[in-house]
Amino acid sequence: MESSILSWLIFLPVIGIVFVLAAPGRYARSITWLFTFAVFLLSCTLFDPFLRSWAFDGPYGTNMHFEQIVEWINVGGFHINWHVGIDGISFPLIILTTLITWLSAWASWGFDKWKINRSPKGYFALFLLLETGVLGTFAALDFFLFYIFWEVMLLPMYFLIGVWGGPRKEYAAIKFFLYTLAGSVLMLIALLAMYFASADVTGTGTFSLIEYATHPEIAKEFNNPARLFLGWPFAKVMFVMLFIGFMIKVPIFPFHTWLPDAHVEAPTPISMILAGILLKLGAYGFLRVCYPIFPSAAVWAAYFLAVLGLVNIIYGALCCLAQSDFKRLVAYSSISHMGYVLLGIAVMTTVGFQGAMFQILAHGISSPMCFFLVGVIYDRAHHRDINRFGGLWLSMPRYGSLATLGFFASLGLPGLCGFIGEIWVLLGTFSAPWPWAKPVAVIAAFGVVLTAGYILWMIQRVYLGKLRKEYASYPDATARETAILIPMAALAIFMGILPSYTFDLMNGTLADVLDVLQPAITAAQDVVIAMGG
Amino acid sequence: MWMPTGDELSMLGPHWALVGTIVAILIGAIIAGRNWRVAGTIAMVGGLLTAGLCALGWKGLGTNWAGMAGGAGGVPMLVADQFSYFFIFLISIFLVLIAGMWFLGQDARLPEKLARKRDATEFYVLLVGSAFGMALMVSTTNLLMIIIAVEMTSLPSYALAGFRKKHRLATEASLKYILFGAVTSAIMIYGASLLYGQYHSLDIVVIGRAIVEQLTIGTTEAGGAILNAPTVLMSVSIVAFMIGAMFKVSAVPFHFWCPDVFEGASIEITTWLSVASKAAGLGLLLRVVAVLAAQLGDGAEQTLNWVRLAVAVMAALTCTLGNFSAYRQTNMKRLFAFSSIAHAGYMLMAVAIILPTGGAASGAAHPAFSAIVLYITVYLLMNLGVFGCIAMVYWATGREDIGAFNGLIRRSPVIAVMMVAFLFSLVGMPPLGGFIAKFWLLAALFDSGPIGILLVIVAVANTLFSLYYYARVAFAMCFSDDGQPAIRVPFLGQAAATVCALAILLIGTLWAGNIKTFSDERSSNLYAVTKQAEQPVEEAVKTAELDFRE
Amino acid sequence: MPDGGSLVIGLLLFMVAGVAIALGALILGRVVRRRLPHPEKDATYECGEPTIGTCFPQFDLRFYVVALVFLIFDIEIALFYPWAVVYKEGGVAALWDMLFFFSVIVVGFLYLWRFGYLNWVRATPKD
Repeated sequence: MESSILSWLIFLPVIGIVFVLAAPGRYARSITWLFTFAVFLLSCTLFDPFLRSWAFDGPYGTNMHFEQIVEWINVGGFHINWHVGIDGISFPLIILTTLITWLSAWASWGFDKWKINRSPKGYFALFLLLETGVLGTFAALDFFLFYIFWEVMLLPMYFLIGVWGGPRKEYAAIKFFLYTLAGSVLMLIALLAMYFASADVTGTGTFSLIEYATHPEIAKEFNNPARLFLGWPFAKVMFVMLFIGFMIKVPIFPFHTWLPDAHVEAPTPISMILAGILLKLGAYGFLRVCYPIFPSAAVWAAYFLAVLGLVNIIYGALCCLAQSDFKRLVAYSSISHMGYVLLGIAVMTTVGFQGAMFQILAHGISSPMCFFLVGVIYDRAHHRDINRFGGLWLSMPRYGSLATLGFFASLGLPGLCGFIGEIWVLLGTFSAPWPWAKPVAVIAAFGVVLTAGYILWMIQRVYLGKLRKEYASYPDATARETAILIPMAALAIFMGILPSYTFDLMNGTLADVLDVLQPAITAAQDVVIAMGG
Repeated sequence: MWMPTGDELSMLGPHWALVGTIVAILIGAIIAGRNWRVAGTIAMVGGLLTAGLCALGWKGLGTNWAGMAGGAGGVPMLVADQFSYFFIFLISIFLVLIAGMWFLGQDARLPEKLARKRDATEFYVLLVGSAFGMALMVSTTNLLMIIIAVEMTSLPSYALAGFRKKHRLATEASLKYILFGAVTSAIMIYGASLLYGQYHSLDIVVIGRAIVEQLTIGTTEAGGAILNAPTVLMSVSIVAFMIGAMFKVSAVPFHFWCPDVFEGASIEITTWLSVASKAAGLGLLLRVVAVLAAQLGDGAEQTLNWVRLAVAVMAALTCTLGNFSAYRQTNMKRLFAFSSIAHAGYMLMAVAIILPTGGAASGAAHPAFSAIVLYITVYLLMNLGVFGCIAMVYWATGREDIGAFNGLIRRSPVIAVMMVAFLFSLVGMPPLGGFIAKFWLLAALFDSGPIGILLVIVAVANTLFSLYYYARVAFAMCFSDDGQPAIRVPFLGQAAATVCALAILLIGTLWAGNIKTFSDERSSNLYAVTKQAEQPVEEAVKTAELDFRE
Repeated sequence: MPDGGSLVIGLLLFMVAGVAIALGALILGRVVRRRLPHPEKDATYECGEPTIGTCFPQFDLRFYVVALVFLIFDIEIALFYPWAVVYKEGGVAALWDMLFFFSVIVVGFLYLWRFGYLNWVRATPKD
């Protein structure tokens, strides 16, 4: 189905930039609000095929919807296309992106009251550019295009943190930039290597992420252990390079250190986008690039990745326990939660994949909510020291209730979205056919306890207890703040109580990806069985 | 006695135009006196004329090449092909832009304002003179002509570097430049004399053939030559000869002149040297290496391995050292001097991979040539933009240190935004042209074997290193505002910067394919790679000697 | 053609011998000669003329300009002579050739003339 709707979706924010720059600065926020909302509405029209039974018919790659291929560069044997399309992996993320971006545009409404409120035009233009970059990355099916959009996100983020951020913004911004660029240069090497490897097979070469995974000869050659890259097996080197590129974005220990700094210094709406969407890009990269294209390496690395995921879960949670900065705590909780995503992907079971994907979405809802909740209180108190708060629920009952809901969703309380993701990942890990899977699942389950520990302790210190008098006069959440929180809260409950509606959007594609992986998994298990495992 | 034919003379149209421009500027000065407007206008018109002739030339040439003064073995003194026309085009367009920059800076309140106006004639004569040297440099394979061209480029450049009279740094720059240039020229001439001594010819095509004859010890069944190991003397003399071009390109370890000269020279000259000098040096290097490789054919890889390794190591060192040295610079011109060294390193990498000339004989575009043509085109725009912005800040504030850029986003938003685009294009961030340039370069490197892949790794690592100091400038402009007053910049300057930035953005997006096609065309059917052996060496040398005696 | 090893050895020998001969001459002279220092012996040799002043005087820059102008004519003569020798072979084309070359030189000369570089006494521009 050829459709230009995705291209419109991607470039609508760019049109918005033109308006933002042309109009006087005081209208910038309204224009941005309108455009992000329009993008959100437009993205809702994408629901249509995914609600139908035939949406996921056929193997991986054949059931892309709203696909569009336009030749972009065709020179000297290089074929680079404007190739966009969505399936069950990217579609929920696109909806998440448009929704969260709209909400954070709304959260930027108080721009003129910020400490640094210069150049609203610049802020909102970069904001919209960021949305273009993210949507483009999710929609791109051409690796070259994917790479371009991946980098397009970097610049706006750098400036959004660097210009409008907190006291240590310069440090945080350049750290974010350097880390992510380090990942992307690895990706660039892989991009070239994969292109020329595919050219060796087919003669013409391709950048299509789908063809890499589904073209029988290319896929075979990529995973051919005899194919070497500078003396190492091709698949493993590529997998590791791509994985490092993506894991920096997720972020996975030990490349996570940019995240707390970037989050703490970024303004609230940018933190929302950063946590809610940008982190998901790394996980999306695993699912779109690393796994379907290099199944053999994925199986080879499964153990290490599961352990890395485990480290993320436990380490992130332990760090949370040690934080007194409210925002930093939420940032570290993101690291812990993204550990579940990696773990779910690493075990390569149906339930694990579903859990990982669900966790991506659940975290995409709950973490922006948490950051916004922190932002609300920061706007009033101008500090984020957990130990100086207390009894906020008494002075701000509406805010307190929503905050509790948001943090419980993050905690993984049954009935809210976080629970489904975590439990699915744990179940998937436990049932995985790997010899190491059960101990890993048990340790990972311990992470849930730690999560409950730091969140409950935080809620107790901030929202419960005796109301301190300096906070007694605080106004409750305003109408705008409530309006921003309600959709996220509603989604958290909806996804927690009726997860099947969300699963239905993506399960088909996840199963397709697993089908691609299955031969490699079977081969690896045969080895385990043969060894008497 | 040899006389040039009409065709041969017309093929040198761009060269004539440049020489004519020099004479015209002088005549203009004789008639109109010291008038900076007249001199500048003539230079600009001359540059445009040259560029137009080049564009006509590459249309007219098609897949042919033309040579002038066919001497030994049918080897011409000067060559006109797509490649040489392209480089002359680039240089003359750049000449026009530099002249425009000088015009814009004329109204700035600078201490040297009076001298600038008075000495404009000399400035333009020297500028066009060095451009002419560069034009010769990219269109010859003759050792003597190369040496003359390098000197013709260097001598005006020395004077231009010290053009700010009574300015200490400028004097220092000029002196350093001369000393360095003299030493490297000496090494180059030494290499040339060694080559001549061994192979009795001044032309690289003939030398290449002579090398094949010298090394051949048998033939394969397919008829190809089996070559002996190369002699050390041969490798040494080739590398020594290439050092002259390395100096122009400012490759490590011949880069020491670069930061000092860039800092001391006035900003127009800095801009000029940062692009034109490198472009010409690269054009020369490419041609020398490609000619040798083409003559050696299948044996090139083995015979020139040593040379290739030397160039590869130099390239890797050049970009790494350039990037790391830029970290601590606070003077913007120095900072971008090191940045230009780093970029020279990226481009040199392509020279290192030129040897396996797969399909070169068929006249297809060589990916390395094409990558360099593309890179230098984009690099011209980026560097012109960056130095243009530095110049405008300098004209307004009289300062060249990074502190003058603090808060520029408020003081002059247009300049700051454009500068950001140039900076990140230099880093190689998509969707800007710098990325496309880097991408094609890396693709060419990657496709050429293990050395190329290692160079790719060095290059992308350097991209990462370079981010920090480029971001530092962006950081000064956007993040650290120390309340300096807003600056006034000429409207034309803003417009020019905007056009440059737009062009870079378009190259990075819509024109990404077109510019590759363009550079493929410019680098297709090079004279050198098609010029395979036509005449045995003995005869060629004999003809040359006869010519000489006559 | 010598192979690499012997070439390197040859170059090394060449360098060592070069340095040795120069050093040897100096050392030998120092050993053999008698030491009778005299101020006149230490003085710079200027064809028997007594020297005046130091050897680092500042020349008048005008000499430098004159030397440059002289170069123009110098090159002209150097190229005119061989041209005149083969003139008959070249015919009319050779005439045009030289006229072109000459006219370029003349433009340079006129430029010098126009801006007073030929005047010995002229006002120096102020910066």
